[in-house]
Amino acid sequence: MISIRHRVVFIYLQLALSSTAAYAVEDEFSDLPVVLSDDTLEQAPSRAPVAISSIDRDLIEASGARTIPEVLRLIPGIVVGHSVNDFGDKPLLVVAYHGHSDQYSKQMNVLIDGRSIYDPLLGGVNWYNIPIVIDDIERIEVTRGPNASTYGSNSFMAVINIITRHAAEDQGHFAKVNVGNHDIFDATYRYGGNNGDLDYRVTLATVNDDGQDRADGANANDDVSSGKIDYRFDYQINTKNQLTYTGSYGRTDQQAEQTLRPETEIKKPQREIQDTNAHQLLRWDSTINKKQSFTVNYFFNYLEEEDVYDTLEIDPSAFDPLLDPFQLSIDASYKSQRHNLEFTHFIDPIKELHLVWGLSGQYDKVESERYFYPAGENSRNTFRLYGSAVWDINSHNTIDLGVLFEKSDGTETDVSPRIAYLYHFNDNHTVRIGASQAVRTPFLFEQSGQVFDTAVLTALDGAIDPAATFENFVYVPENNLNTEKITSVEFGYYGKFLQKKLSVSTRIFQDMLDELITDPQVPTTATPDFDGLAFIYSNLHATTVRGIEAELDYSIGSSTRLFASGALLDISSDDDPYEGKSREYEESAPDESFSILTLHDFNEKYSGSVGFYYVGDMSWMDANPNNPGVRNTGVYRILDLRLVRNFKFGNERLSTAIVLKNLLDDYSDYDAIQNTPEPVVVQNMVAYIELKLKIQ
Amino acid sequence: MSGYCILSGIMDRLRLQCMNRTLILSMFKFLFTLIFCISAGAFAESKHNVVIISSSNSDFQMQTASRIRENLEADGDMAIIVSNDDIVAPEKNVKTLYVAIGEHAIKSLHEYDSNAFVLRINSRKIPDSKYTSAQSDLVTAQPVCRHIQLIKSLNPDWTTIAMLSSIDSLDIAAEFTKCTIRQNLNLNVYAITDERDLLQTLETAVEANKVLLAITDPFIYNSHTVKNILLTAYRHRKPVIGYSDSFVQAGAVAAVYTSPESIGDRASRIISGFFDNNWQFGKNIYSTDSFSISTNPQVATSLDIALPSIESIRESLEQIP
Repeated sequence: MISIRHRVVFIYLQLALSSTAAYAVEDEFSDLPVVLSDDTLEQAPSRAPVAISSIDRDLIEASGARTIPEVLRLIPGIVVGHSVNDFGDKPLLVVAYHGHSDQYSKQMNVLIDGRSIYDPLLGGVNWYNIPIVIDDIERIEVTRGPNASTYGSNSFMAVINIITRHAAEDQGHFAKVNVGNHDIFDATYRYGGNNGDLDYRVTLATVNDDGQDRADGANANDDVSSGKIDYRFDYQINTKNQLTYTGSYGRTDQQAEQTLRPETEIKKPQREIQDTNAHQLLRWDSTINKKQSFTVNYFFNYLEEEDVYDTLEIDPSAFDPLLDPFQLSIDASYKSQRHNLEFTHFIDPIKELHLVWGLSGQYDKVESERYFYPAGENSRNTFRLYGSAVWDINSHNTIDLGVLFEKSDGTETDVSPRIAYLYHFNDNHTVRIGASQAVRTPFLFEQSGQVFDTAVLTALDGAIDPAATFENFVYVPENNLNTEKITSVEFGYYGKFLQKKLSVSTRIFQDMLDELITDPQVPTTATPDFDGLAFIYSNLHATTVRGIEAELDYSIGSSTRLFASGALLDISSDDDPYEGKSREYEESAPDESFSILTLHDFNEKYSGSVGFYYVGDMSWMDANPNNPGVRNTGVYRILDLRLVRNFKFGNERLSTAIVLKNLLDDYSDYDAIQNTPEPVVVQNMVAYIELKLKIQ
Repeated sequence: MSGYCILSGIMDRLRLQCMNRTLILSMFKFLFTLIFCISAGAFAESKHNVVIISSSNSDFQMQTASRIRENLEADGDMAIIVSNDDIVAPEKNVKTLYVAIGEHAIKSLHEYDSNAFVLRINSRKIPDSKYTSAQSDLVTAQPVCRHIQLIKSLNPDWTTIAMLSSIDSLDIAAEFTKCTIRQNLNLNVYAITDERDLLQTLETAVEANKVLLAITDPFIYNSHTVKNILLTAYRHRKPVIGYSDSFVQAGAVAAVYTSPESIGDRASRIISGFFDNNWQFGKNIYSTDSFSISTNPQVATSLDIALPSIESIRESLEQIP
């Protein structure tokens, strides 16, 4: 018989509420949370199946960039333009890789922490209006070439993945102010804190400037003013599970120049356009065991643009001399939203094999009376299944496979495969042979957008009212629009020299693009009553891009770093049923471009950087439709300087910097107007002082 | 049978409520109390009674406790209770050996009964520990030179090593310094006295050195700070050498450590010897006699570090006694 002879006393070990005391119970035997997970880690260039450039925090700061596109000039093959154009649209910062771009750079996916911010209505990204503060960015990874199986839809010619810092890394107060010419006034304040297992940061920022100047020195109508708040919470549920919640809200006011093209009959006025951008993201990272982990990710993007105006007066006398001039009242506002839910599973069944698979569903919806006449809205569901496998056969040979299956409303199921073979001669030298395919799904306006203008006309100074009706289909949808397709093959080399202080990455590639979508103005019969010209998106073109790209990163001693890149490109296109159109593709990227950024620490107090950028002549796709063969954005060179003085007071760090940009001749990186040798705007010298304070 | 035990549970529940803990938590504790009461009944009848107390329910401690329990149960007539964060105390006339795993459990047991029979399992010797034939330590930390040898075997070019140390671990840092001097390596120890200085000191340390070597110092390395440390080092593209498998899973590139199985096996042998020796330990301080190596290929690959095989690392480390 069991007898109770023991007095049982339970002494509860007190877990003190203060975090310090709680951590004091930890020791060698304690579990630690998984910090560097598959989702966090940067892919080493020597192991990547495609060419990847990474711009780290040091390079971002040294570049003196106030906007993300300025940083991207460091990437081989990327060209940045300021599209103060003559269409009467708002100015946009445009980032294009290997040409093929108008002011909406639609052949490239852009992600922030894995969240695609590709505009569902018009494609591309409004870089002025993305609610992210440059000081919160940890690094920017640019995948050069298609990689849909890793980054999803529209990872077509390139992918820009912006990675922000974990909230634990931004503890304390941070403040920054930029003041300079061009009415530059930027201010940023960030506070990061923690409470037990919760790390958080909140950032407030405003960015303002008066844009660029006209060639005659007058200020162009392209002022930009934005305010934004973004926040990030990282909560460690336990050692194997973490939740990340991020959110943002930003508003940008932009001046838009009036339509300058003389041949355009319906001219937009000078005006202000307001854009709102917000997002919410919730991600759960879970480590199942040493060999498996998964993430579940949900995000919501919201974009809104307010653009209501009356056109300049239209003179209908060519049709009927008795008709009075009239204006069109246009509401080009829109709202778009995206919901995306994604599950990704990482598995390492054996040491030599790394597998990833996942699925996602996405819902895009756009409301706009103007862009979707007459329905006023459009939406689309997209479902994806993707996977990849990296197999290290032995220390010399690696095979990397990936595939994405994607089905969107209105398109067939698309398959985007990728294969790469890597041979590692040793730890320092790797060659890569790869081939991949990807598609670009037409954005909603391409797929089903319809724009219709109408007005009731009077005649004889209003004596006859109404006298006639003006009706014009500006855009008419094409019912059988296909996805754009790219097939890319490349041979790459990555090597390290001089005790790994010098890394060199280069590749030779050929990208074959097919079913490219353009919008020629063609005769159409949109309704039984309408018989005229309208823009219709169609799959019309095929191009081939061949080239060489190189990038080197050299740490010279402990105080100097040199980062350089360059690209040589050749674009050829097929015969084109629309005269001159194909020439636009061939001229849409410079034949050569390169950049050099040098960083140097003089001592603990002083550091500096010099950036030089060269871009050959080119034409943006919307720059010069009627004048093929003329590359109206000429060669330009940029020289930037930055000098920093650092101060340290205990836990407080103060730095002040002088930033001088565009120190060489004035230039234009987006000439659009035709029939004149003068550009619309020029980039001239920008000078500002930067003050930064960090208190931990 | 369990009238007293239930009463104890109710008392505990009331105490928990007084401590402003949630009702749910108190109910869980109450249930655990019942479970332990039932276990305690079986505990009474055995030849040797062993209570294993862990400082937390970490995988490592649970695996260690489980291994000891399995070994001892296979060994003979023993009643064993494994307790997570509670001390199960027998009546005074029943001899019981406590196995305290981790500093927190050791200190709590000491506060409860400073004369209890106890085998203290900790990474290092607890300062001011009392050694008698009834109280002994099993120190699980690997020899300091083995950690240094690990760094050398991973990459001979990692010649400047950063180490963060609080006042509690300065003695350990000094041992490491001696070893690195002998091996012609440069160890830079960065003392941290205020936790607010951790990030800036860490930045300086990883900027100026090729690798960061972590040591068991909960003031510096704990489940909260490890995020900052690993992320900051990673941002500077500098590897971190951990001190446990858990640290490697968190994001360190590699670690040499004593596995829970090894500790369990070693502790079991010590305990068996203790009972065979009429409830007396043969030594004041025991150490572990084997080591394990853990690497994180994903982090190493991302940092462009070519890891040697585990076998070659092991060969290299076996040279260190």
